[in-house]
Amino acid sequence: MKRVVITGQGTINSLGFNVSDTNLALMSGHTGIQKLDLNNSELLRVNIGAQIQNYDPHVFFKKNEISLLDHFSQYALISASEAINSSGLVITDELSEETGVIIGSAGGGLSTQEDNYRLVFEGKKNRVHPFIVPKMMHNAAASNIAKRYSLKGVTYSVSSACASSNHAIANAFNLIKFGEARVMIAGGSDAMLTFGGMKAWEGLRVLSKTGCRPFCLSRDGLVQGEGAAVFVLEEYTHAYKRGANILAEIKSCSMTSDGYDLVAPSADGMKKAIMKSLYNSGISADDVDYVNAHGTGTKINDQMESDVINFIFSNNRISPKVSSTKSAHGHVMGATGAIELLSCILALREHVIVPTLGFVKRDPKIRLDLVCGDAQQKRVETVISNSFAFGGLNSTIILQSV
Amino acid sequence: MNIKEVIIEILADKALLNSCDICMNDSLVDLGIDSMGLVEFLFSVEEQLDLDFDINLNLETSKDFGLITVEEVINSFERIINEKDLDRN
Repeated sequence: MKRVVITGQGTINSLGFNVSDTNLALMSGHTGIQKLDLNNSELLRVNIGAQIQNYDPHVFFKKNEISLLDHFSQYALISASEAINSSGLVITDELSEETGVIIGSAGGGLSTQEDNYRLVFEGKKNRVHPFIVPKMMHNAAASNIAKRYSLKGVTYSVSSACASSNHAIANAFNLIKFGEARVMIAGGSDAMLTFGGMKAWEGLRVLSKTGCRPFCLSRDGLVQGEGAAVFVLEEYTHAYKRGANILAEIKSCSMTSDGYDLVAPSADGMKKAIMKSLYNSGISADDVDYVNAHGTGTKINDQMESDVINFIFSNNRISPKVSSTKSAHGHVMGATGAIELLSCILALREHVIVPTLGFVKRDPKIRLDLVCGDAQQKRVETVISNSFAFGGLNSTIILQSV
Repeated sequence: MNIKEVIIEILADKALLNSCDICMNDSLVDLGIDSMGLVEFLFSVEEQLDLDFDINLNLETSKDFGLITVEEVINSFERIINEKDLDRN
């Protein structure tokens, strides 16, 4: 079985248009959550989100490209370009046959659907743009990346709600591990901050109006964000031989299903995801230095995740540090795990643990070594990142420095 | 139809029971209404009474909500609706 490493990373989200700006914002405790700028936002009960500000697609794409690209594909392409450029990878004809793309997304081309439903049902138009189908399809992001770089390997999309990007990375990891691919472009992208996307979430009555405060006593719900993060995953010897800058090694990725409820989380499912990732990698819980939590800021997720982390790491000589960066970039749905992996790589490379923001009061029932307020310096060699999704789907990724 | 009748009818519909089988002392959990059933129940009450209840389940905690009785649910809604009527006047 092959070893798998990360050799490139790229992102666009409410904190920045690239990795270095995003990392700077994460380290300095800046949040991208603010009042939403949306059509008809006066009809929304909840009016905050981590929206990408001052985004002009014309800066990144030619006019004729934009008509084929939903926002979620644009974000994925921008992130993939940064990841591939920063990896220094030269994709020859031969390598392109063994390079594929897996992009996770919960909503796919939601804004394309919404805009065109409006035209037909509200605007009474009887003709729509011819590219709606290729724009809104869930695989549009992955296929557009493959098209731009002429990649011919395994390429598809994954949709598993808020675990989509961890699932995408897990699948890409397995393809390289078992020799099906030498390089994979993997991550997640979502652009669900639309009027309809917000309305749908409002109905579930779990959104916060006041901000995302994971693990805080005053937490009152999640805040939606938008954006993407994409990584270059590479077979270790391939990366080593070309002298690539190896950012981290993926030691294992687990995927489990609760088989229980569509929206309520399950402690057992969370526990199994983390335990399985540790077991598969042969890494002891004691070696985990940092947990990038799912930490949505809802009452139930944070309590349950805290209990599970306590249970698994209770015998550690030193408890792992824990933080949730959703307080900074929002809950980016199917892209959230990928965006959170940026903080994991930052911890491994710079030995900085980015903080949980918005924390005002300790919840006596939450017992974690939580990093909040300011970033903390700590020697970090092993990190885990959790994603738990609606539908009862869980995925944990373990990274180590090389 | 008054508020009490509307709420009992919706609860019966969500719990797959007849209205006459709903007791005032039953909790939502007793009726087999889980967190998703609760969200759907709130939606149905809003639709039938043409009102907006700005309820965040993170503040109410669905567990506590599940433990309150049918009578308490009816009293809460009557109180909220009366307050809204006062606001309008």
